[in-house]
Amino acid sequence: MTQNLPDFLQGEFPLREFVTKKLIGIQSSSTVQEAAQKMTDFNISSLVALKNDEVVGFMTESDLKKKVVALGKSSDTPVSEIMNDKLIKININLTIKEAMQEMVDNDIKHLLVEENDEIIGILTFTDFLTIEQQKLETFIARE
Amino acid sequence: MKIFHISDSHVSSPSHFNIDSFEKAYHEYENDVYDLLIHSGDITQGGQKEEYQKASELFDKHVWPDVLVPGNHDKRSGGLSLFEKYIGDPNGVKIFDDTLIVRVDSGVPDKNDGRVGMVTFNMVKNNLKKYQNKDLKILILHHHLVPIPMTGRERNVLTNAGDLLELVLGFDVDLVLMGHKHYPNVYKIENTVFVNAGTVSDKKTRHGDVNSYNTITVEKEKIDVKIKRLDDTETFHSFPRKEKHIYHNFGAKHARIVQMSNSYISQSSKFQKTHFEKARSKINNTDSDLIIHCGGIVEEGIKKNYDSARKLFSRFDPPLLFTPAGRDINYLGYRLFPHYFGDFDQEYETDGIIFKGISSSQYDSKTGFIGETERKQLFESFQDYEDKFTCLFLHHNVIPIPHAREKGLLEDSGDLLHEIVKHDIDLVLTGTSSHPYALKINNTVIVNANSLSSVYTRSFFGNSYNLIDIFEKNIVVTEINSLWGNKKILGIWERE
Repeated sequence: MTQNLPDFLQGEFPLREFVTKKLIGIQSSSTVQEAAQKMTDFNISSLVALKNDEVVGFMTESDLKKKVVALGKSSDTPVSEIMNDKLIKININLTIKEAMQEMVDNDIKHLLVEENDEIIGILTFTDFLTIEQQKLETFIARE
Repeated sequence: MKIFHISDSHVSSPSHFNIDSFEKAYHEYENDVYDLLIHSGDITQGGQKEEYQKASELFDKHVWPDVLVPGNHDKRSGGLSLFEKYIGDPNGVKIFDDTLIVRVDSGVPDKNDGRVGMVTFNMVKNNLKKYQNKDLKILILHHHLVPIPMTGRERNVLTNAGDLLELVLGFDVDLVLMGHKHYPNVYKIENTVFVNAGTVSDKKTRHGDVNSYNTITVEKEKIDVKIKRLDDTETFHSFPRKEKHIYHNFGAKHARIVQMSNSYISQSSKFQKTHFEKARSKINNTDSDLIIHCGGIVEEGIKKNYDSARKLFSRFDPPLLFTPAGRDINYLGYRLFPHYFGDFDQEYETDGIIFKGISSSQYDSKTGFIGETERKQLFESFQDYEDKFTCLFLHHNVIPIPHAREKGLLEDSGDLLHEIVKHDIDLVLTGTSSHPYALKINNTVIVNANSLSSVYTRSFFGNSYNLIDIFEKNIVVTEINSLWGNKKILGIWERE
């Protein structure tokens, strides 16, 4: 799978250098409506869920779609009810290639990044598209 | 861990070298217990054999530093071969316990500017990657990575300082030790402490200063730095090592600012009108309070370009502030800018936030300058707004930008940066070199904008502008692609 990656990602590119070590969270007791608003405000596709400043879960746009809208649940549903409490994490000392493999193995598009047992960042599948986008943009915007 | 940090000994004849200062510093070193003695370069004055011999004798008499790197003076007159003979490899890695030390030769023979060549850069990168899990990571080089105050014109710079800065921050280096400018200084950028030592024994000091050295204590939770001057005065800085990663409670939103730069409006193909128009359409739909354009409105300061620019910018809904780049005020631009876009130094106030622009550009020149009088007036005027959120905007960068050759374009950037930090300016917006970049230095967030719509961009993300959301508790900076509108968070910081 990784054979089709852009050149930039072919090597042993360190995750630490690539990932933004900041992420946005929400209290697990907040409503899914508040979560959706936060995702919209920051145009992000996922949130970590917190309880007493500890990460207790993780939710994505897809969870909102599948576990709230499709089931006709109320917008007052707490985040804790739809979040994934099994956190799939990767150590920041690994490489982009290993992170992508982890995504493939777990069939996920978001991966939490940890260091010393603390979640410090998030990697999303769209992060990898940046380079290819530039090529496409140059092609489309020729004037 | 306790570190004794000296620099710029300039061992030579008594006209330069103050042996009394050197001996006094060593006396203080020997009176306490340290884990590391570091010399960050310019061991000798002219890279001469006699100077290397004399330095060796002095180190033999006392104790050799655990780590030495060559400075620009050490590489004069073929001094590198003598450095290798008397001291050893100018680049390398030292590992002990849970600590990584990378030492880097940043000098260029017979030049005062510095450069970390590709082989050395990759050595640094590979070792930071290999040992990234070490608890304490220290980088040592001679040249300063960020501009230093009280040292006059910003010169003798490290030409790839931006790339090295990005590498240091990317790999979470804890401590960077430097020298070179003969003035001690300490900044914290993101979670890295940058320490410049003054000169330990050169008679060439700045502003009548005396010789000095630093002591650094690294503990699990904090890094303490003492600048110790040989007149027995000291300055103390303490920085926590813990970094915040997850943000959830932002408080009320106070303002949303759009920052853009280098729209580069002209009749030529270098101006990408589609990018500009798509960005304009998105900005008009983002509920922004203000747009700040950090220079490079037009490709050249001619009337035809300004006519187009006025027409295009009139279609933005939020109010606009401008500051000129050099290209905006060349040719007739010096007259056209105020006629079409207003004062050179523009100001705006909204909801407890004060925005002040300062024109750093000079016509027919890429270099910028603020000047002592204007700088003094600027920061005096900020004092009237101590209880407000303060934002300064200008064209030239005050910190090195990655992927761009650092040329010290803003000639008094060292003093400007010092004043910015000293006055706790909350936000500084710049627009040089067409590369988006954001970081926090001490209590100030500094954001550089990419090119909005010129073909000259250095970002893989394509042309872009920045959205800066100022919340009650945080500042969030997001880069938005001009054409597609996809977003990337450049940084989130707590407001101090």
